[in-house]
Amino acid sequence: MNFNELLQDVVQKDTLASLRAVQPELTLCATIIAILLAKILIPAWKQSPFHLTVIGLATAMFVGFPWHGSAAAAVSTLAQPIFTASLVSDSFTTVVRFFLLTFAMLFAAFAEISTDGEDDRTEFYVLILGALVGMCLMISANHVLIVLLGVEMASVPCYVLAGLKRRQSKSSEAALKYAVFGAGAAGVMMFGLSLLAGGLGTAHLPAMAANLAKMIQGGISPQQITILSLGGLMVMVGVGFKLSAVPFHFWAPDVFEGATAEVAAFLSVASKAAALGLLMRLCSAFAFPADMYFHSPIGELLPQASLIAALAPVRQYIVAIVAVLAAVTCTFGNLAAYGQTNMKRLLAYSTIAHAGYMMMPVAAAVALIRVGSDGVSVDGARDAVASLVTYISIYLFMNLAAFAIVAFLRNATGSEEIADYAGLVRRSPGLTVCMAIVMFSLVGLPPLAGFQAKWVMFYSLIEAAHVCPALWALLSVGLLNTILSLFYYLRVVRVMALSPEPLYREAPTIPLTSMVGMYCGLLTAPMLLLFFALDRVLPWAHAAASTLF
Amino acid sequence: MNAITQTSPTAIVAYLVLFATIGILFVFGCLLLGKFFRPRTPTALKLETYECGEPSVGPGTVQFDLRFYVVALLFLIFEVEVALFFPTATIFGAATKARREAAQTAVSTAAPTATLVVDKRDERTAISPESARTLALVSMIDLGAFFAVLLVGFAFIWRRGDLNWVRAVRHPATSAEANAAALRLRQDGFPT
Repeated sequence: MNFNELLQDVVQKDTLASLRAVQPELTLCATIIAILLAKILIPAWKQSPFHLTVIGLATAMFVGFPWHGSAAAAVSTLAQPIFTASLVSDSFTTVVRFFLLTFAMLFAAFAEISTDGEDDRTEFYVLILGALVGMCLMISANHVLIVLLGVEMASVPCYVLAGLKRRQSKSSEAALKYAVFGAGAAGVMMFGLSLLAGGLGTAHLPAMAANLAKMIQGGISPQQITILSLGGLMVMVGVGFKLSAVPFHFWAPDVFEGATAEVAAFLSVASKAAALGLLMRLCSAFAFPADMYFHSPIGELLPQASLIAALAPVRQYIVAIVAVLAAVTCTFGNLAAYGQTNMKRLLAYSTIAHAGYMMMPVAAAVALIRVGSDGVSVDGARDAVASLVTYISIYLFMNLAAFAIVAFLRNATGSEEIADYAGLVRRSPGLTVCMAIVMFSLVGLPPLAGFQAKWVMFYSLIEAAHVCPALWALLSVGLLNTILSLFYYLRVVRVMALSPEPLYREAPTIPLTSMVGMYCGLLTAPMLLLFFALDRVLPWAHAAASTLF
Repeated sequence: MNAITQTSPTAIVAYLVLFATIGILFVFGCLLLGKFFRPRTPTALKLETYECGEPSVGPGTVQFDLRFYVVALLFLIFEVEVALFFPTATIFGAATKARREAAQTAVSTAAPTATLVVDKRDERTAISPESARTLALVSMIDLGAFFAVLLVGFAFIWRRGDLNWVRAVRHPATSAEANAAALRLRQDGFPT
């Protein structure tokens, strides 16, 4: 292929097809520009750009809707490497992106209801949308540079969001801590990525895996193993920071406490979902580099099955790291949540614990890629990814609802301490019931959606443990933690329902029929609905998984 | 020492360490050398912060005005933007030049399908006038989109008042207040 053909191919075929595939991201960018332009051109316009944001998000959701009609047909046409294979647009991207946009929509409504008449609304929405674009890049990354770019694009607006309350020293402190920690983590991650890219001779993730497989087949030297495993660990530092996985979680409680409950909700859900998407992408690229993630088929390089067979030690390495991180994160998050008196700090540790739970299916998915004499079997791995996507979709509602109630109670009582929630059931029974449902769902008790999320997740872990016996330990850690978490979640409910009302506080009356109450009801309803209608989510989750492995 | 060992990673790191060590030692060595030779007269005047006689005002750990950081940040954005302009501009220049040369060759030899071969040895690097045109066009569009987005942000911060050195107060001062402020300034010795 000469230069002219290459150029025509890139400009006419690749770029046009790519632009079509990233329509939702382009819509978000256009929304940002529209909001800024509106503020420039109409100085008298004092309202918050909520409506523009909602229109932009709705358009993005519409153009990025996973499929019209049958799922299977759409999936096959969806999977394609875009922008010369630096990004990949497949059903995993599409479904997780749709969840992110759905969350953003609910989140925008929440932010609009809970805060009114503040100056920084324009900046708030612009930053949120900017971070969303970065998160979309994270979940569709297929190249080292995009991994880095996505992580930074998602992080930098969040640093600013954490410090949006300029007059409060706690908020500034949170922003600074977050930024410094984030800069350090990004630096280490960049170092790790450069080690991997340098050691493997390319920066394109699946090609890196293919080169690694060739190296393993041809005999890999101990020095190379050292460098590559070090690089892998350093990359996990960056991903662990985004996931707030222990031991890279130190920023989370302080940032959640310092930032407003709205920003904390965004960090806790969107940021985490994107980080899990990225982790899944990285793991899938190195454990199972599928043909479709290359610009041209790799069949000429190495037959697919032997390539995947050669990567068995890499898979063991990934499973070990992710499983250990998951177990430690989950246990630490739950134990640290016990001593908390501030509701946002408690939810921060709950977020950390849930990050641990959600890393478990990633380990299970990688462990479940089986290479036998009759070829590669990935059915189990797909189920595990589907369980992760299901978990994300349910977690989205659970955590947003929890933070929304915290924000509404803050508006009503001016406090975020658990002790100040005492006896709320007498004045605001509806809200208390919502909170109780959310808390029970976070524990994972039936008949609530949280149970289904944990059930599918543990089920895939059991499947994986049959293949890799060490995962029985991870499973038991997960189950033990679920029991552990029962107590601190229920403490909140106990304080709200059973403790006597403190004399110094006027109990806020938030009826379910008010705007705030209806919003809480709207977010709590899926906890019940999704338990009975999980089969509405599962096809999406399975479709998301079908192109990854 | 043969060429292979000289370029091995260990040798490269060893050189790096050697250079760093010599560099660090050089600084401290010079300071130490000066300590032996310079006269030592610790008088009160000598121990002033500014030995030249400038009196020091206040402590050294003053808080800098936040506005300096804002300006520095804005400068950084536009500096990086210029750095990103260069590669695109280079490609645009090379493409238009290649196209012009190809057109001239076509005119002089009257061969409508003439192609410009940049590197005679390799057919793969040959670039046709159409490709050169596409390249120039695409780089222009790229640059335009990038710059336009940046300009929107610039216009926004301008409108927001981040570029004003003296921030506009929310309620414009009445003429009486402005006069009082001017009087205060004049009393403090500022020219008005």
